[in-house]
Amino acid sequence: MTTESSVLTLQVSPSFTTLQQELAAPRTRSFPCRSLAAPPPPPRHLFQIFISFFHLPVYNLRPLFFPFTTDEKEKRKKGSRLQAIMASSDQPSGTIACDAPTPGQPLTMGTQVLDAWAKMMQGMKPIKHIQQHVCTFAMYSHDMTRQIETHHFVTRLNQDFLQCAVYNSDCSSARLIGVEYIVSDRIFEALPPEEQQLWHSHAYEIKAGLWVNPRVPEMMQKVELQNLAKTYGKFWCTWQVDRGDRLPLGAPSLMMSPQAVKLAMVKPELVQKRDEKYSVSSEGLKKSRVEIEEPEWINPNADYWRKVHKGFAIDIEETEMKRMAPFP
Amino acid sequence: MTTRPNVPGEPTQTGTALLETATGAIQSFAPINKIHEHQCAFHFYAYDMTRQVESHHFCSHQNEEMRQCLIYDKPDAEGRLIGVEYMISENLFLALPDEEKPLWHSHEYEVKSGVLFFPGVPGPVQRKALETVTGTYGKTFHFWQVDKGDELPLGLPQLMMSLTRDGQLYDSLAQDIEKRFGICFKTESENRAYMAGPKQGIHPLANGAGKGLMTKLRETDCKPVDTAAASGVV
Repeated sequence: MTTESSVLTLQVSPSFTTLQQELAAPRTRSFPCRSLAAPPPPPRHLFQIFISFFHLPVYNLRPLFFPFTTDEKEKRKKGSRLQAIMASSDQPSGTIACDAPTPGQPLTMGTQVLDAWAKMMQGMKPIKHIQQHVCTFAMYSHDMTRQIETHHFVTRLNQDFLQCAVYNSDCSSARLIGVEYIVSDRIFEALPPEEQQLWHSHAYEIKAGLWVNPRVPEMMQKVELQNLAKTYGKFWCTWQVDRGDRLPLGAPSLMMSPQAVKLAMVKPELVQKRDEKYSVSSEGLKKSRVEIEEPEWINPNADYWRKVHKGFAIDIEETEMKRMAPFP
Repeated sequence: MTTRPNVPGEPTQTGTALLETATGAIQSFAPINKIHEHQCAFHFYAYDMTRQVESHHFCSHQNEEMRQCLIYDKPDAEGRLIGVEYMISENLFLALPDEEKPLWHSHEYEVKSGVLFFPGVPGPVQRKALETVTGTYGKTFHFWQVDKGDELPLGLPQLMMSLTRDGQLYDSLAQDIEKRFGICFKTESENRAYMAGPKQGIHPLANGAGKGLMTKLRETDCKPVDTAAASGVV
């Protein structure tokens, strides 16, 4: 493993800057403007004229036509006024601060109309093949006290490989917080050892009843859970919502899975909150999953922290770009 | 055009497939149902412009100023999920800390050159949608280096950049995309000439501040540090 070298350490700014302050500051820099003066716009297509009536920057007319969801009611109560958007790097850990809305203006009616049109016209095939929702927990490999509830939306590519878009909740305002890949033990054993160290095992979190397919009867998924208990996952988190980041900042974090070790036990209050939301009992599932066989062997290269009590961090370093044309 | 290696593994068993069809019908997929837009563009590695990747973005709006996108290598059922991109308005970008800005790239050139497009969407409709994309900035990580022929997502996340001027995109890639999707970048570029990029111009810190950027792995202490207390097996 590389030791810490001189890096362009990209840390979150320790001081908060509100967007309003940023915009109000006198512009002492002139940014090179790459756009030349645009030619006069061509005559606008009738559709564009029609849509432009709906691009009202202030008012969201959607509620006049569509019923509110509970999620949207909460968002409107908090308002969309932008407040401080950057989290300090020493935000208390273990707090799920995902209630603060993502900064920005609410969707205009025009954008919603365009979205609906685009969705109608486009195939969206990879998205239609997302067929499973899994709720479980994960922790940061460099700080196991920071534990998050995760919502995986899973596509199976074959019997040995799954790919997951990971969100911080299952509501429509959920934030895309990362990607996890899941492979069978057969595939995992063929990986080089230095690659295996980036992966984690799933046996414990399944048998402990932490891994749940919300709304799917347990009977239906028993056979599949037996297979999944033997898999390994690799999870990169790109948005640290739990520390209060209101936008995705910094480099991706490597995540690890719950294990039967005190350090990697999920905090009871997190499990309880999740169980209440989905009317499940992790304890009950643990008992019913007793018959799921433990894998004969869990590769010791996975769950790297268990061997050496070290985690991994990603740094982003400046370097020479290999190029065949000027940049930028 | 690179060939596409298969993801290693046995074909999906019937029982597994049936179960997942059932779960697909029973469960709630609210975040996924919000994905409404397919954009096709090219990324290259933030330290290597010569490695260019066709990227199919499937995007949802968090609000008017922010999109989050899943990136696939192909827009079909076997598409591999290779990365994510976040897109934010100029306003949000300007409020980022200066040390964060280099990780984000501008979209003005991609949109105005016609290279970023919405497959299957008529020109006037996509132009209206793209008016809100031209001034945005994006942050992209790829986790699966399919251009290297990796059959599995190996290694570290890769920061990606996007095209910023003529002469960067390989002609072969451009011609292949134009042929497969029945489009012409040049014609579309003329239709998009009226679009405006960021109001303040492209920020000098965006696009890596003009430098290459590479991810590196570092072993670090794992909190909590009190291993005796933390390691007890339960």
